[in-house]
Amino acid sequence: MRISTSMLYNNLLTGINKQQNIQNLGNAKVASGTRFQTPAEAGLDYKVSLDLRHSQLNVQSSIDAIATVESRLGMSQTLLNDMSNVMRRAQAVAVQQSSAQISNAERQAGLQEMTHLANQFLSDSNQQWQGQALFAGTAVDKQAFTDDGLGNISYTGSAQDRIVSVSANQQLVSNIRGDNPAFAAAFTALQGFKTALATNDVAAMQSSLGALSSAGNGMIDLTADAGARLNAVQVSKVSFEDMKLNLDQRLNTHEAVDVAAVVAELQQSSIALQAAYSQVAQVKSLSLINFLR
Amino acid sequence: MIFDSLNIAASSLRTQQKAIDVVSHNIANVNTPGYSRQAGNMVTSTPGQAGVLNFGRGVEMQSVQRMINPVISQAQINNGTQLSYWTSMNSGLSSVENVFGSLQSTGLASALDDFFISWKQLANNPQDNGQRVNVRAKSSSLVTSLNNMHAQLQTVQANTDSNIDQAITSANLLLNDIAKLSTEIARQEAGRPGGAGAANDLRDQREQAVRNLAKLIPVQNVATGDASFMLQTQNGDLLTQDGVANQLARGAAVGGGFSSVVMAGSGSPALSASQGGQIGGLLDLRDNKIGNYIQQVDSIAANLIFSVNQVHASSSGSVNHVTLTGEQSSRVALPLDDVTQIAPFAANIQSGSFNIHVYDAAGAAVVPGGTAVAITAGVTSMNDVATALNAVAGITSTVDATGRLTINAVAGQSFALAGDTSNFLAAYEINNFFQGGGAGSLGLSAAIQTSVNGINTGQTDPLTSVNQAGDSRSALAILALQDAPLSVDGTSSLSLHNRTTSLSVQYGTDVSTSKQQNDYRTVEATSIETQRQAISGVNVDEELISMIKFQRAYEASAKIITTTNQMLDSLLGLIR
Repeated sequence: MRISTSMLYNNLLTGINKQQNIQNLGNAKVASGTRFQTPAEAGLDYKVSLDLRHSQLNVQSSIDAIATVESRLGMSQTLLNDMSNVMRRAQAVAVQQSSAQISNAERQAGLQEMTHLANQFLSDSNQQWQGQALFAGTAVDKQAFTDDGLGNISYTGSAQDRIVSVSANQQLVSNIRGDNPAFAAAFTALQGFKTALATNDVAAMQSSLGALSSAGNGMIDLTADAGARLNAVQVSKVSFEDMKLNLDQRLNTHEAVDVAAVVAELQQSSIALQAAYSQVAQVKSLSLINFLR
Repeated sequence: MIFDSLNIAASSLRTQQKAIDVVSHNIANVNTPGYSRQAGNMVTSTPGQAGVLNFGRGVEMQSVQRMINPVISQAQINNGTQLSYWTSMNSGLSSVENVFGSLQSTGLASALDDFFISWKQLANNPQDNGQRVNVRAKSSSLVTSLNNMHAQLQTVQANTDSNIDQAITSANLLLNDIAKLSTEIARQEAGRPGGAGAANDLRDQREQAVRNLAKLIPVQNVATGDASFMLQTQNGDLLTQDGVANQLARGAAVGGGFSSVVMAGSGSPALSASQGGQIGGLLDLRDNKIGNYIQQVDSIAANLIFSVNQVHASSSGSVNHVTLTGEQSSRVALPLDDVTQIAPFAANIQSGSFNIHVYDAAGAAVVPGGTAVAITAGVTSMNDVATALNAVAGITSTVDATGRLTINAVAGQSFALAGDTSNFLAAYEINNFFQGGGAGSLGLSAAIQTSVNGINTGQTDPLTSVNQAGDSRSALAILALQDAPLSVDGTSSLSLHNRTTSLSVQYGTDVSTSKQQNDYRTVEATSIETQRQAISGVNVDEELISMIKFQRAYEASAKIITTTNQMLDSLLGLIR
């Protein structure tokens, strides 16, 4: 093939452009630590990155949601535990007071303690956590229970549970609702025993023992239910944390650049570029013009 | 006879001098784009006859020829058309790269994720006003992201359209140049058949102009049989013939409001977007690529707006409403879903109803279960809705001059909207979350911009009309939209995340295809140019050798003159 003068320089220029392009891309990869940065560089890979990041955010938000459930159920469990203790103490007082040996004065002292215990139970039942009623269902801005002043406690919360969305397929109930029969049984048993004490009715006191015991068991069952749900939630949390770790690893594997390979390519390109530069100088001196002087 | 030698040497001197002129011209144009190396065509002069002998009479320059290969020239024209198309496409696509984000800032995808996660956090804490503030902030960020994407794409689309104007101007200038060159070539070559007086440089200039024109618009060179030069578009419209140039112009507006490129005289389309050339690439970029991205971004926005509003409009918030005004105007007397209605989602209205629940000053429901307002597709008008609402105890309703509906509770009372099965509330943006119909017009509802209390999370109980502060059913329903396939605008049913990632993939694939084609056409261009250079390019060394060759011939001829002169001296010396 016949060679024109322009061809010599054009070929070298094309080679230099190509090597400079390799240098530029390699530098960008090494600097960013990723194989690509934009959809223009790798459309499908970029989509996979977006999908992985989407999953990462959702998993993190699931972990946060589980923390909310843990927090609500944990606080509910603490209060239910306290209420179970109240019921246990009420049973002990009932055993003590239902003895025929107890004087009326002692029973009035017992009544005082029972009043405190009943108030404590009501206070626990109306407890708020972060400004929201714990046992009122979705009526978090209202008291769960109200006292009509005659000792009749009624549930004033909603019949709707507080749902926490953990993931698209998983929604958890994050509360214990006050309209659970265990609460009503406890309030009734406490009130019945208080009335028996007030009226010094030993037979009623003895029959209250059974009601208090049954209501106490109900509260224990409710506490255990909260605990069991907490355990299940914690298992779920571990699973989401594992998923998070997995996604972190996948994202890193997917996006991270093979630095060694890029550096090797840069080195090879650098040698080619130097050779091209040197060749430009050589082509310049290899001309008949230089020999016609 | 001795004078014949002088004449022959003189013809050689003249011819070698001309040959050196050609060499000099070649070296002068070694770097001139489009220049084809020239070579003098030397022939022996017509011999003379002396007796039975034929004697040569020297040498003469019969013609100066360009070294060209028409096949390669045509290949360059075709390649130039395709290369320019893909270069303009690739460079145009690169200019919108920032619109689609990067791993450092994933743009729309992360804005959408943040939006839905904020709803998740609100759904899990619906009574927390701080979460409402967060939802509003993330929603504003999403709105800004979509608005910016739309604005940037529209700007690039408009710039691309301006570039078409510039390219048309360049093409018209080239057409004028070609016509002028054709006239000049015809004038110079007139009466000189056989290439003896070929206007080589002018032909090079015209070929270069045609190559440049082909980079702008696909052209075809038509053989006329009478040696005239004719250039047509690929559609067969005459661009230039001899001294006549037909200009390109802008035609009537096509899809998207931009105009096409037509022949100025006939108004017929000069090219289609797929035919190539820079103008073809810009048309394709403007109408198909960027136009398609804008459509997809609009579709994402439309599905987001209407789907979220469908849920939100039937929901209740932390406080009941005292007044609500729709954010979409209407033609009050026409059916709500009439095709002439301005509201972007009016066509989504169907027969159904919505409930209005009215509460007294204490917050108790006036009519537990609320009152249903029926909507019949194709029948019910905005005026009818206002009339029906005015019949509800504790409610007054008006329609303003622009056809916007306002619902007011009488003093001391309040109301909530629920259970809209007709899509009326969402379509006319009453109790809405978003406003607008696409990415360009997308915004947050005026009420939510004013107060986060306008963000609804729950649903009014259909039997008791009670709203609970901790009710998160609506927030959960909005959250469920994150991965739900949506299609409110007739496009394929896909989730918002899938739509966003599909847009990125499509953009990435478009860039990749354009880059691949651009690289391929660049390599092809290099190869064809190499082939052209092999035939038409100037090699300085070659020219210098030719120069030496002609110089030596010149010196030898001069020596003949000297020798002949000496011979004449000798001859004349005999006479003296």
